[in-house]
Amino acid sequence: MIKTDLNILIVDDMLTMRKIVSKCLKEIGLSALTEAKNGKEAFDLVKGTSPKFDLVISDWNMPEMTGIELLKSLRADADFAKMPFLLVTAESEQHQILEAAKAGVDAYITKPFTAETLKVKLEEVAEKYTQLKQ
Amino acid sequence: MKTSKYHFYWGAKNLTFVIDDKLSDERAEQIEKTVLSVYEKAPKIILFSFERAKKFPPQLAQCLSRTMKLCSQEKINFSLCNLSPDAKGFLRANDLLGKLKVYDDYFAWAKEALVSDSQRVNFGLSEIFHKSVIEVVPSFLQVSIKDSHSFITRGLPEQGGYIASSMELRGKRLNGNFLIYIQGNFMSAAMSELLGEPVGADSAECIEGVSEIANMIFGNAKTIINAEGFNVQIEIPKILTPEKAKALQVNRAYNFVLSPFRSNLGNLYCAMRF
Repeated sequence: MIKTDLNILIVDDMLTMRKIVSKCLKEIGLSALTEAKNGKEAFDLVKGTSPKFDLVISDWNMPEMTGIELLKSLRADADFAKMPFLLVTAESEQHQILEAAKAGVDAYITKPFTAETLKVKLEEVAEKYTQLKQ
Repeated sequence: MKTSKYHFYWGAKNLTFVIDDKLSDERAEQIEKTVLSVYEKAPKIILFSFERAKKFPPQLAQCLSRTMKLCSQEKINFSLCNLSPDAKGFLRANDLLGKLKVYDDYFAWAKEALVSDSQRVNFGLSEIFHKSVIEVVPSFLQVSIKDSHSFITRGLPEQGGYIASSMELRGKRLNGNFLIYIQGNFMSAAMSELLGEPVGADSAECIEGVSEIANMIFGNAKTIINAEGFNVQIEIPKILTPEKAKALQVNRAYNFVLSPFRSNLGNLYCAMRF
């Protein structure tokens, strides 16, 4: 079971998608949610937020800084290299999945998805990071 | 064992045969029977695509020769595309190449089909849109795919009251745009369901939501198209102003593959401009 007091950062350039992800997370009992409009804004938020976010859920295609660039930036920073990271995207080509895996993504979700799918993915991630488990 | 995919497109359906490079006589016969049974039910336009064929099995060539003869008798248009060098070599050696219409790929064929024949054609894109639309739209919307066969057109139909979004499509063999037009009521119902609160048809959520739906449908379509070897990239979706959307509707310089979808709560059009 995943903890319900996790501090989660949602990153998507589309307001509606951020709202949809928030709604799905609230449906599974998670309510400490922060939003960012692109990778750059998210990176600044991650660096400037204390205590740290427990988890990042990010879109792939965004202006300014994409989700995969955000992931690579975080993995390259010793302070955030082990921050749990889920990528959300409408595309699921093999080379993209491989690129995300190489960059160190913890889970990959293809749009559209349901709250149930998101919950399953979060639980998969929680298996890898004990701090996310109840 | 290496395999090749042979695509047979006709009317509103397409068949894909996955066969070994060393095609057995039995399998060739089975393919021939299937192709001939399709002809009996079908249409006036037949397209054979050999995109992934490394070798051109002689049995399949014989099957093609016989079906070509039948097409000629029945006055069915017969075209070939995506031929491998090996397949072209075989046809040339058998003096068949000059007798057939051969296109680089099925988009090239589709362009010419538009000029030479205005009847509805389909080359697989409608299936891509069907799958993507059905996956993306919420299940409470009853979308009809009965009359949603894609067809090629110049310009788009007049669509007042629709919100439109475009995604640029770039590749060596294919350039243009994916376009989506969604009726306000459809979006209002979809977004209200997705967000769990009432959303008006002219709200920011609905307007932006069209781009998000475009992203989901065409992101999926891109994955499928690239699996066919097209290697296209798509840009971030942009909302089209009513003026820009109208300009596209009347622009006759481009070809469009248009797929209409009707639902209990409004209509949706998926299109590709190329």
